[in-house]
Amino acid sequence: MNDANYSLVLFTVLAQGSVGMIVTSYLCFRLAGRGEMPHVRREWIMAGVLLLAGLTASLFHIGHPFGAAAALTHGATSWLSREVIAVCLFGALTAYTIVAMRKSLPASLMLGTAILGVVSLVVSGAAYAPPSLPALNNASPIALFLLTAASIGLASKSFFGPKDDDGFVAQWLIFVLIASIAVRIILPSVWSSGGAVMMKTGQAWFASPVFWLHIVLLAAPIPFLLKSKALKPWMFVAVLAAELLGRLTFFVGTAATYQNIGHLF
Amino acid sequence: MMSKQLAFYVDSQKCIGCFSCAMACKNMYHPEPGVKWRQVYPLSEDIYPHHERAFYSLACNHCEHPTCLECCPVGAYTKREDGIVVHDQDKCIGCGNCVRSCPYGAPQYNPKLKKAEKCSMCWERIDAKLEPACVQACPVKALRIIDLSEFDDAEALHYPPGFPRFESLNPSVRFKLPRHPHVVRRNG
Repeated sequence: MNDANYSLVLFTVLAQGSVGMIVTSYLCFRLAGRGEMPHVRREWIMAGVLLLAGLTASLFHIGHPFGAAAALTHGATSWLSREVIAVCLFGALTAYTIVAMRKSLPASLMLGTAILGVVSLVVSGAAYAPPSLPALNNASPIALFLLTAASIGLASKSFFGPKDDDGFVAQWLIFVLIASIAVRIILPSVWSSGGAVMMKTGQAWFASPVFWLHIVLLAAPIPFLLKSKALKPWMFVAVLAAELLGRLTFFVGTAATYQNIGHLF
Repeated sequence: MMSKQLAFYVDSQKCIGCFSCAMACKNMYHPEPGVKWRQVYPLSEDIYPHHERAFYSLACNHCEHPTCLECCPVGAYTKREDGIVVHDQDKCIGCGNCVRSCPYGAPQYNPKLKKAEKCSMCWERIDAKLEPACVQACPVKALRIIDLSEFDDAEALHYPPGFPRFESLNPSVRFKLPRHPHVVRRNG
């Protein structure tokens, strides 16, 4: 339906995964009362690398990437400008926190970075809710982005977390994956009973094999987690692939009002 | 009193779908193949269920509150005092956000320049007291420029069927609906 914007798929998923990893790392560090310094720092460095990869990918959707800095100038009205500002601030604070972690874990700095990450995610959701896309011109991009962050963040603990954390994280990952699947089935179902453009969006999502493959990949870890409560690296790979495919559907399958001019709305 | 706001008046009763307006726009600005600043949309049979066809000739609506102007991250769009929304290609970085955001599909992506572009209502011609190319080219006078601050036509529609309704943007365009054809029946 629309062009596959691979650079935006990569940017949004990797940046949101980075936020998810940092929030999960902070929550495990605070709530579970664990988190030795080296593994937490490794986790944050990995989140920083993901964010950097996402930001690099984002440059490829701009016709003139060397002018990208100008996108910081119109924050008064443009959600895209606000997104760029928020993500850059989040990246800078992440880098600063990683440096500060060389001596000890700065809890308040980690909290501030995690909060800024969530703020950047909400701002990003608003940037992808334009009036031309009635199905997304609401809070659904924010909800989808939060779920992406949570699922990637929790699944990433299979690489980093102390094994003691596995049961705690696995429970939350099961909950987030079920919630993700439910939201991603409910949204197109609601759209399918909406106006003409929303209906086309719902039908396009449900008709897409990529959409169903992403649902299958999201569901894949659930039976294993229910059985053993042990996190495995393949689960992270499955969740990341699912989120990338889901985001592809988000960009390709969402119908725009201008595609329906001359027809009933 | 409302400030000056130039707008297109689309008379679908007169429009014969000849595409002269779209061709004139192409001839004037030579956009890349596939890039259309003005498009002629046939109305579906759900809206106009007759053998004859009816059309809306549409370009940028130079909205009162343009999405393109609000969402552009580099401030490449400005609104003139006469309401025309102008895109400055020198500022554009080709992010495509305006192309994705406009519900009327007005900004188009130029794959050669890697920048957005759209109908300027031929503001250079307007400043020279000339009609835009599309208006001048229409052989049946189905397109004209009106000033909404002075326009008073009770029959003109703002949101006819088949045209997306976005009151928050307030698109500067008015329509006259196509006339339903006379049906002549033989008795007996």
